[in-house]
Amino acid sequence: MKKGILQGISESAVWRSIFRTGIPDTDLKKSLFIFNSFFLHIFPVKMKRHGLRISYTFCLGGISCLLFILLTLTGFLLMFLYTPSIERAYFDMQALALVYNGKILRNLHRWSAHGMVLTVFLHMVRVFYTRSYRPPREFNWVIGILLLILTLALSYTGYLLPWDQLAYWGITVGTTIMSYTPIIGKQIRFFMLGADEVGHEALLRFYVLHCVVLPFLTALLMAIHFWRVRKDGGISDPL
Amino acid sequence: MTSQESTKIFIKDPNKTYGLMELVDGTSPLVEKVPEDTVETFPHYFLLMIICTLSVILALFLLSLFFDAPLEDIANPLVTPNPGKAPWYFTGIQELIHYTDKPVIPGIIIPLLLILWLVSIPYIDRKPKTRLGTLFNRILVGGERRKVLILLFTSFIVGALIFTLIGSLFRGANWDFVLPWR
Ligand code: HEM
Repeated sequence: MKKGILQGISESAVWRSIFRTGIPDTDLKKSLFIFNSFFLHIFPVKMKRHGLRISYTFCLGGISCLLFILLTLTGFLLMFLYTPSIERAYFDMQALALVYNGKILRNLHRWSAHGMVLTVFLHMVRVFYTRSYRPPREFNWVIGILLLILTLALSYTGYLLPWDQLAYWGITVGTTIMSYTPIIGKQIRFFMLGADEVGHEALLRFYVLHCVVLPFLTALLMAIHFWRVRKDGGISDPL
Repeated sequence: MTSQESTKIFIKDPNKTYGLMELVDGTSPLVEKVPEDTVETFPHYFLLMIICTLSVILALFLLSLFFDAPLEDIANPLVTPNPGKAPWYFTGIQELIHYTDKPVIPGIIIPLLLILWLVSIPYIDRKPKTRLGTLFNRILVGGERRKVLILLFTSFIVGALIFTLIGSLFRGANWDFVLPWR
């Protein structure tokens, strides 16, 4: 029998040195295809048929994860074009319109961020109504709530960075609400802003939190979240 | 399939010296397990994932093509916009603060209590073991059909939706009620 081109490639020494497995046409090879791949090995080799039903999960957790990845990628690119200082931040935003595809880049980042707040919240709603938080999944629900808080914090710290009126007063209003905390309210606000008012210190703080601290924590918790989904036996059974 | 179900199907009788064997049509060996309803991750799941990923990316690109992220005038501490609004996911709280002259209640206490309650949901809704537990379960969860819990959670979702919508769309200067289409 004549070999196809694909099969030829997938049997070549170079291909095999990278991917190990050939075309996954048997059960064993389908398993090895996932097992042997760094990126795919977080997935189980087989899944419950019902866990794949869109009407059960609505893919909301997966979409949240996808949006986080897209936000990281567009975020990296935006970091090349942005300076966290009150002299430059706003003008860097304006200059984005002049950069090739700069506007689309910013729009993608902005709309993905709003979308992620929405999908993470809806994911929580789905998990509640399917009662998927029941043992052994209790703690994964708790991790989920932390992820929801982190998602809001990421979105909120990013909100200040364009340094326009919307950003400035949005953060002023939000941190004023924080200062209503009894006794230590003023201190909390000062701790958040690094000063009594929103200014250069706050911009720098929010920038570091938004680009380094919070994404790192979120990625870490997401890794634990996914690991636990598998350790708890995959997607929960229907009600 | 849970382990409980599989022990129900494979009842172990110590008096029997023979076991139940069965030939099942399948492509993988299953020993001492009931037939599972599973599919291979490759290609079933990957197909779903790829379609889902591409649709989301396409939708985002279309959105970004037609709608620009807002950029107002440069930040100016001397010019206070009226109304000054928090990002949309916090306008619900802002709306609640408007109803009271004790902003600490809707601004700090309610959100904190909500988070605490959300975190504790899996620990409240479990199978009660003691009689006191059964009583608590009745009050906080509402029995096996969790009527109380569903009512509370649904009120939380609907409440958050309504206040967020009013706060973001229906509030203008001085936080007066406005119609967004006017
Ligand atoms: C950054 C935020 C989050 C990401 C990326 C994420 C991702 C995921 C993914 C991919 C799954 C697999 C099933 C599915 O897609 O529905 C999942 C399951 C789960 N998530 Fe999340 N999640 C997040 C936040 C949350 C939140 C806010 C909660 C609840 C408070 C939560 C609780 C759970 C639970 C309990 C499961 C297991 C569901 C089951 O077995 O049916 N997660 N998550």
